[in-house]
Amino acid sequence: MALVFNGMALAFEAVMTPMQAADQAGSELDDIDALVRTYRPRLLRFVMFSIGDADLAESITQDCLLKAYNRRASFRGDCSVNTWLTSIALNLVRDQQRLQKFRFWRQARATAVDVTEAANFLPSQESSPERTLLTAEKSKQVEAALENLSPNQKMIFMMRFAEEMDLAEIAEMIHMPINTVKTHLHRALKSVRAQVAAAK
Amino acid sequence: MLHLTEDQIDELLMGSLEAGVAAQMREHAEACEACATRLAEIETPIASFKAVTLAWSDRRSATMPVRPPRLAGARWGMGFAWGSVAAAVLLAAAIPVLRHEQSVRVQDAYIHAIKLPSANQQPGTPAVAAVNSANANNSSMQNDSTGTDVQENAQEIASDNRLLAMVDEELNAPIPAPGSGERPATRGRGQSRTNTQGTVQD
Repeated sequence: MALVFNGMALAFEAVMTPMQAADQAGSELDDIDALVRTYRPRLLRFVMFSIGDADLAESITQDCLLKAYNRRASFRGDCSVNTWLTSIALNLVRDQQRLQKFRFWRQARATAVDVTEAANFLPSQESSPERTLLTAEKSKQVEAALENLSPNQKMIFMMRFAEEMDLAEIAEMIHMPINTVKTHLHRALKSVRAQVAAAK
Repeated sequence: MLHLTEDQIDELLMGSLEAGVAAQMREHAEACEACATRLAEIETPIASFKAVTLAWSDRRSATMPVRPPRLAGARWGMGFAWGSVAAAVLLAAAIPVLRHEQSVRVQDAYIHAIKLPSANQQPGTPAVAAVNSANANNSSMQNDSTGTDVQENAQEIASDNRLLAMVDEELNAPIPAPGSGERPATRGRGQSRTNTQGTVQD
């Protein structure tokens, strides 16, 4: 019986129109506390690794959530809430870069994440000391690779590999042809490979 | 199947391949140790990065205020700040308006003086005469305005010219600086120029 009910629920979700999806997300967006709880860590990560400054990332993330909450009526439901929030964050990051209020590359080094410390807070399956150390090392290689990328390349890398957005979504959000997005991703992956090779 | 190229691995990771092709490549990588290693060399660091950075942002987010600051707690503070700004703006806007109003009254008085019958005017003090009698003579002004168009136009042009001259005079008039009493502080562009040229002496 429960199986049938689940099946019906899934079928209903599958045929949901954007309007219905918007209604469903609308109630989610109405609850600012739930919004913060559910989406803030991922948003913070996206902003942090797009601009490389933790304090600024915090401030932009808060601005983003506030903006999203104030504009929740404009959410049309044609993408996920996370993607919508990412698009708001993307514009805020770009505004910040345009204003040149910060020294991008220098601060990226100055406020880099303490990866080894962060790795200690990984879920339990990652908790053996050797595995934690290895995970931290590998994460550092990607972080180092990101430092060699342009702001756009970083954002596109984060959208694809952290937010798991598909190429079409990224292209639409960042107003670039898919092939340009792919070129940026090739460049990012090449940079990761170079760091992996250097660490060997 | 040949070994996977770097570009093919990139395409696989980017998700730009058709589902069937991607599945075929994954199948090959499972069977081919060399390709599995090359795929893992790029996939593992990215997966590690994802996990570690999420652990970092989860922790950092937990130390941030529960609500964005402008939405919670800060309402009073923001209200007060906006109130102060609004008061400052109103004050800044009110000063020139009040000054303008004052000068407009003088100008009105001057216009009334010009239009008044000459018997009511005190020679040399047209503005004072007008201030004294302008309100009382509103009706006579309306009667005056029924004169010929040509005369009225000439009178208006003359009064405009006098008004402009008076405005110039008003703008260029020296105003005593606060405190000194003697030093001629000035306003108006023409006077500023003379100051910068050093032609005005204390």
